[in-house]
Amino acid sequence: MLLSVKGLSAHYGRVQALSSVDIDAPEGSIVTLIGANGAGKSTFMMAVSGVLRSISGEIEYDGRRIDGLPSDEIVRLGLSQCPEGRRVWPGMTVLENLEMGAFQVGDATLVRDRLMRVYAHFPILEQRSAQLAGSLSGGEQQMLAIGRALMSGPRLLMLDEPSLGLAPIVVEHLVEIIREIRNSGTTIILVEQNAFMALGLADAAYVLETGRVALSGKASELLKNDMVRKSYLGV
Amino acid sequence: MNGRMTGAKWLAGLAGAALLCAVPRFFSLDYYLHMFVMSEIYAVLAMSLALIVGFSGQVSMGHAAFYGVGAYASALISLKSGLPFWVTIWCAGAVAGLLSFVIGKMVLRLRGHFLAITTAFFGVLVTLILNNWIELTNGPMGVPGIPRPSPISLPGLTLSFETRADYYYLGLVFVGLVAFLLYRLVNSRIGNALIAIRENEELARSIGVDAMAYKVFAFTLGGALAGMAGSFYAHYILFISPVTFTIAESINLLVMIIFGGMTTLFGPVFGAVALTLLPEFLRMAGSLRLVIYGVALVIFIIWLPLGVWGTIKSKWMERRG
Repeated sequence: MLLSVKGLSAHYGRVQALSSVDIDAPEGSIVTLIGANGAGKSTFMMAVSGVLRSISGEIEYDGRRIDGLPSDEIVRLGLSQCPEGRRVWPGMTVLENLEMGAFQVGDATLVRDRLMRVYAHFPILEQRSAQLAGSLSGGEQQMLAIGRALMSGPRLLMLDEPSLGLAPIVVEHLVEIIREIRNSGTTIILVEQNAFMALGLADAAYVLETGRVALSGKASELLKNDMVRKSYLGV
Repeated sequence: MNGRMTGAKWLAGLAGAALLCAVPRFFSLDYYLHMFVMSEIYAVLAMSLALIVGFSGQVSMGHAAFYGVGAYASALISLKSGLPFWVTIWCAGAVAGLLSFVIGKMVLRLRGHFLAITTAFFGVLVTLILNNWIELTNGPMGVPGIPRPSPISLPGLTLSFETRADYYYLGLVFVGLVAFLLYRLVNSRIGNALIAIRENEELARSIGVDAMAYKVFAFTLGGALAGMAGSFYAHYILFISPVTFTIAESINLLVMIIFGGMTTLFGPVFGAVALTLLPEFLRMAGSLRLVIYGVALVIFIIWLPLGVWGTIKSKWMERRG
């Protein structure tokens, strides 16, 4: 198990955002967390990446407890996140954004290698490398955000709502790329509201409801589950 | 970005440096030279503040406190121990840097208005201490009789610091070295981290930038440089008192970097020189002087939010595509 979360709880002031959540991500898999707004999906991600500190429970990554570690330490261990809302630095160029992603990598040739790999996944970023990130389209900014998260060379990549606000054709393209990234050896945790896309892509899935795991299992099985079909797929 | 120096740029730089060195020949009046030396001190202060406010995006309203602490540290150490200015200026940087490190550690968790108010509070606190710790600082009476820097002689040039021109030359070197240091810094990995924090701190942390450490670093270095500027001021004016280092001076420094443009390095220098000299030029307007100064500032800040130099630079970049 690359990531194993046990009894994770988190709260904002008095509001309980996660209560005793257990989630496992085996190496080389795509694990998805689906659920409505406010179900605790992004909170889970922020807790694992160390940005949110007021948590209890155990987070084990690669056999080692990481809860309580600062976020820069966690990135160094190979756990990278791509936060929600395709956040890029609009005033920096595409290339500068990508280079920032490799902030902790001192070795220039390694940075170059990774840049080439990101460009192989996203050829559009190479074409736009000198352009300001703020001038990219929504889909391109999302690709930049994912590319930047890949620049740290993660073993585990956490994507928060990558499909948000993107045209269906762009989402399809994104699905292909996420699959490619997994096939090149990176484990992926995918947080999504687009349950149809997420369940089609993932190996295992967890359904979050008001901070609890309501349902979990193989993604292909959840696709057939009545409750999931009714609440999240609208069929 | 466009960091590469071309031949033409080198030439322009050399010509500019020669022109700056020739200034005392054309403006030999003490009055003019005094304004130029003050411009140099303000240029260092403005650059050091721009590192904190402009590059890392942390608004500080207490910068004059570090200027003052540096001035007092340098003056008191040289008076009590007899160490020369060439040593005490480093002591000033160390003391002011240490203080800004401690304050930075405490306040840089705060954001925006909260940070501005808290730094202002620390600025006021330092002024209160300078005024009331009379055994050490001599209180509101100030510290008189600060020694001049000991003479230095280089091949072909002797600076005795008996004339303002000598201070002017030393100030040029000071400004040049600080500008060079900060230029290298903001164009390095550290500079990128600071800008990333300014633009979006959560995002910077999510890719593994230890935001707090970088913010504290910028605050400490900015404070240390302000302290060294304070040392220069103390051994130039030869008298210091708390009134020079109040919150009004902190705001004055902020206005300089807003006016010049704080996301470049030349902007703060431009702002410092312009706003040191402008009130003097306006003396011919008599009692309307400060009114005109104030109106001009408001107009510039509303119409040129990037600052004068920032606007010129962004227009220039636009035209080059």
